[in-house]
Amino acid sequence: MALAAAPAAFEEAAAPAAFEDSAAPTYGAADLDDTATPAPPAPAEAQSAAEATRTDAATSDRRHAIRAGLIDALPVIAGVLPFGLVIGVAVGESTVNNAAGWAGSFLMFGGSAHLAAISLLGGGAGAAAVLVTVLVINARLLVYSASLGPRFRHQPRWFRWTAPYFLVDQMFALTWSRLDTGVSAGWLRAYYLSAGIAVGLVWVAAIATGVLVGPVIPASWELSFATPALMLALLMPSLVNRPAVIAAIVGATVAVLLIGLPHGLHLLIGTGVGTITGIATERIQR
Amino acid sequence: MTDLAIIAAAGLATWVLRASFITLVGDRQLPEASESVLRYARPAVLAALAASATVGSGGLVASATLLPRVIGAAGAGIAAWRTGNMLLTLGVGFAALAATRLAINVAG
Repeated sequence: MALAAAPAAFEEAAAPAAFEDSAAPTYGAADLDDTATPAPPAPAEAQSAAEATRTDAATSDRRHAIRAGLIDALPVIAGVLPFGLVIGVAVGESTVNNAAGWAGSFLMFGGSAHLAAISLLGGGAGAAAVLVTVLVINARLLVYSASLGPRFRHQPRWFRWTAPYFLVDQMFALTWSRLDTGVSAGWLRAYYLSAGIAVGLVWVAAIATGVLVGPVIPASWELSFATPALMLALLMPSLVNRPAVIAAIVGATVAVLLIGLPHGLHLLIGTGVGTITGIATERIQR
Repeated sequence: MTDLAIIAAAGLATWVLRASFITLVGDRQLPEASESVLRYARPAVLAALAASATVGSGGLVASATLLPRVIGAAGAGIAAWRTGNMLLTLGVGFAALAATRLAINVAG
């Protein structure tokens, strides 16, 4: 069956079914790995016809990928929109320069670290505390990078330099779910970039809106409370086991007890002691 | 350093984390020892941030503003734990904050 289907798919490459065919070479092989399926020597005429078909197929392939990327981006956008608005409000509330705080939306492109940076800078923390906190919060991106690295190895260099910028939690989830579905490397590029750009544009606009709208809201609403509330929402999914809960409790307690320290040191010490306690608890449990 | 320079540096550091295995070193794996550090540093730093942002720079000094924020944070924490929904977390947190403030005003 698969043997019979393969030549048909090759000749009717323009049909959208071509890249959903599980018998076709899977991701990475379709448009890059030209050594995998050496084509039999063909007359010049047939060869140019095949090339034209391939160009048509690539265009339709790309269009399909962009549409899929934009459709998949919609639920992500619905999820990040309120988060972006609240971060914008937090920027407006803090003493951080509004333009600098908003610029974090595209310079950092990540909500939790952005919110932490604004909160820290507003509290008078130094550069070291901000950088260490951002690195700790975003350390999970290393895991995403390590997971996607081998799968992006056959992608062109320009893509490997641009793709990481869009690598947020949701983008990782979307991409990961598409990897083994038999799509071509080109399809994946168009899909990834269209979803990433759509989410990014909405994100930057949402934060700008929050910055502009924030000052209109009366001070008695105490909007600054949105920062700790959001932090708690971000914290919960990371409480994966008992040592993680203990790490959180110790981190919070130490940070609050040392809150008078300058440059945000209370956070660094709280994080360090909490992490070590978590690791130690895990060792004891084993 | 200005705020913008610090945020730009944080952005660059974030890009390096994202690009590490895709663009920069390529064919390598994350060392296993780093896993527990990653697993426990995140809850520690987020809890430290949440607690500090709740209490504010004044610290644990009893004041009219501290109690409503602590109760609000407790409400938000329970909502986040039970529902995992960000908007509901904000809603419950702000409702608990407002209710406590109202109660203090009525009592006082």
